[in-house]
Amino acid sequence: MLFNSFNFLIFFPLVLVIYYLLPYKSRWLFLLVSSYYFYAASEPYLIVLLLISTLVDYYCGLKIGEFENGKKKKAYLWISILVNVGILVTFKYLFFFIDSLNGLFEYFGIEVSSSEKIQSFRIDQVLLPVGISFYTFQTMSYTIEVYRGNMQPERHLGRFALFVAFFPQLVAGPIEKATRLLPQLKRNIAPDVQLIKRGMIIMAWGFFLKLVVADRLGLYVDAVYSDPDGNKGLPSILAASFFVFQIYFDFAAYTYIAIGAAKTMGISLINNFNRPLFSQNISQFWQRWHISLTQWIRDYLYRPLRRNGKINRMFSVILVFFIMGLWHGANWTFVVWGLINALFLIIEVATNPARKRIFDLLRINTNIRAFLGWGTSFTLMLVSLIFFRSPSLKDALTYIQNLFVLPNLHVNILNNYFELFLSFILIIGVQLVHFYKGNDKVYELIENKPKWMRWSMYVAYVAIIVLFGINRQESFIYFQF
Amino acid sequence: MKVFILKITLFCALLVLSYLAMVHKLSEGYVDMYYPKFTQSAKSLIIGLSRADEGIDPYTLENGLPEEYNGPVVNFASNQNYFGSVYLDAIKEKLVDTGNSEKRFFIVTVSPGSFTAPKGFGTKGIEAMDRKTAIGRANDFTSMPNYSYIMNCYGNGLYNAFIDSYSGGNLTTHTNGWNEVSLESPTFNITQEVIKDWKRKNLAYFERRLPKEEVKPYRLEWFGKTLEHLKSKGDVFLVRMPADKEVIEFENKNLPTFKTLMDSITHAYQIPYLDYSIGNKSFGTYDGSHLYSESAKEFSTILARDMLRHLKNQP
Repeated sequence: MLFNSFNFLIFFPLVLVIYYLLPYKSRWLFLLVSSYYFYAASEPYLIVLLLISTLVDYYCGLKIGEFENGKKKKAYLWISILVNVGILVTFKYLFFFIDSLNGLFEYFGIEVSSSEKIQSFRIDQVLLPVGISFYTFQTMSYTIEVYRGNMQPERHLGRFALFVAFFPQLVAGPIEKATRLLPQLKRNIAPDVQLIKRGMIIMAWGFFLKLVVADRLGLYVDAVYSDPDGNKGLPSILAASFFVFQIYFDFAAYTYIAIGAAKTMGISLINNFNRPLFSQNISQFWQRWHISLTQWIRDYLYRPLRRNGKINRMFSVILVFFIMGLWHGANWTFVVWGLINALFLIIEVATNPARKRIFDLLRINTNIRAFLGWGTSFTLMLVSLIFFRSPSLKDALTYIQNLFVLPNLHVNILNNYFELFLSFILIIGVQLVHFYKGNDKVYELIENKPKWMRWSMYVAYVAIIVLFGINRQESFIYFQF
Repeated sequence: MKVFILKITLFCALLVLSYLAMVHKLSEGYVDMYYPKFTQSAKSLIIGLSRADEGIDPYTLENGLPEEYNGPVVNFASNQNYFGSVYLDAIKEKLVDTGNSEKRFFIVTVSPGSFTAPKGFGTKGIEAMDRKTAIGRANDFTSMPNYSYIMNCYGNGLYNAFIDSYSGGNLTTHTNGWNEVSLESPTFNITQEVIKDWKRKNLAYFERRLPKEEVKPYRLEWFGKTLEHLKSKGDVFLVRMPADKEVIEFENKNLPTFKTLMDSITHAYQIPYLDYSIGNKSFGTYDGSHLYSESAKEFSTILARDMLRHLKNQP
């Protein structure tokens, strides 16, 4: 079920009301059933994978908890990892791997069989189970934490299943650690009007970001990316820039709705963003963007893989970003996007002392340094995200070439300058709110304001959503991952 | 808590009522170029992709056919309407039930592109993709005003209800579903130079798309089911739309078996196949693929004449 659908508009208030009406003891069951319904609403049979992942990790968690040390403990951890990665590979990457293999054979002119070259390895791409990368990572974090002794295994199968399937964050995160979310799911939460209000304001901000801003930017971005040859020069620069904001607002919107929905139920989810587009360098960006994933990668991949020495550390960074890229999607474009970011990061760290010396020598003040850093980071993200958005590497390279075809001042492919103007205003407005309130305090826009101001804002909100919302019922970009 | 619930209910009611009011307001004026395809039930239909959407004028067709075929003829073709379960369901919804008592016709247009989908997509993937199109999202294909279409398929801000979003440019959207493209308009003239440029871009687009798409058995299977259904309702004509020589050559080069395939299908279903991709007569396009206003009218006249010849030869 999409957050931005009429179904959710009915589903969520119903769940919230029933949740608080029910006695504490049966809430977990109600939330679990609701979460499964939420997930199964689009493709019911895909819930089987969620159940497999849940049961395997529940069992492995218990078994890992039984042993203090030794091979058996490790064996159960590996079972958990292999099953989850196996599900991920089969349903997300198998077609990609085989397609790449076929491409390789084709490139080298190798005939797999005499009658049918290349086409011998053929499978159909299966429908990607929504949120598979998110819930497999979340549930793997549980077995790893139990293995590391940071938490006791959860004995209540229902509560554990709810931890895996909790609907606000099931399909696109934030990827919660069991140590954070599981204890919250056990608490008896009394209805708190202030908290519910706050949650709803956060959700409302998320809906605004999705319906009014991200999907509006998407109209322009989609139009340019679908016809790169027809939109060389300024339109391609504009669309590439818009995409940086589109993907951020789209993903942030989902996160706001998830955080807000959970908050109304008294559950606090990790904040996935911390003003990432104000970052002054690439490493800062990665500390502020999709925080739950970067923390997961840091804790369960980078730190265990990291070895001493510059070269080893460099390889760890490349490997981690390779995996990060692949996590986002089964396409070489995502892999290249990850590797480009690794390269940016390595260059940034390697040149840091030299850059500092040059700035000192030229007596460039901190504000200008910050501005230059921001400009450079934004431009680098813009370029790398062209790979993220393009359907193939060839398309991405063509797109990058098109950036430099100037002058082409005919930016308005939608034949509507008002929409373009509105997009700019919205980007500036949203970024100002994020600048002053951060990603975690948007509710302060309304909270504790005088009554007349609050109600004026509510009415303005209704008018903006109704008049300027783009009702494409497009799923969130991160759903595909 | 009670006060809070009351306030939140009031807020939601305000939101929903404002939204519905705006949907209604928009429905009173121009919605978008596909809206008229969803606002009436049809006796006869034109089916296919964008070439048929812009290339066949139902009004000209009706004029060229005997009176007994008159009735709402709707151009139900659009750039997203590939053969599949979603399209057939939409066609079924669209057709008014005449109980086989009246004469009706169905023009099913084809090109190699009608049977393709992204490489690697299985049945579920193709169906999921088709469900995201307008015909997949809409629940209602025949109402005027069609609120369901606006709520599910309209992709712009509802503020357009207050402005004249119908630009009156090169595109004229007719109530029978035909999208007419004129070479001249007060704002923009499609000159020969523009046509040449658009054709080049179109061919480049086809080249780019080629490695990513393939002909799917799923599409062919549902194409057969569509023909079968339509045959039970009236006279079916399979039509390959005309296009510029280079575009047709490109298609034939990349799917050389297309003609044989169509021949075998028409033979199997016993329906006439009118192939306008061959022959001496050429029709002007504005981008190599799509007919502009005058050539669409001319083509529709010739199509009606050829259909009539087939109808007269029927036993």
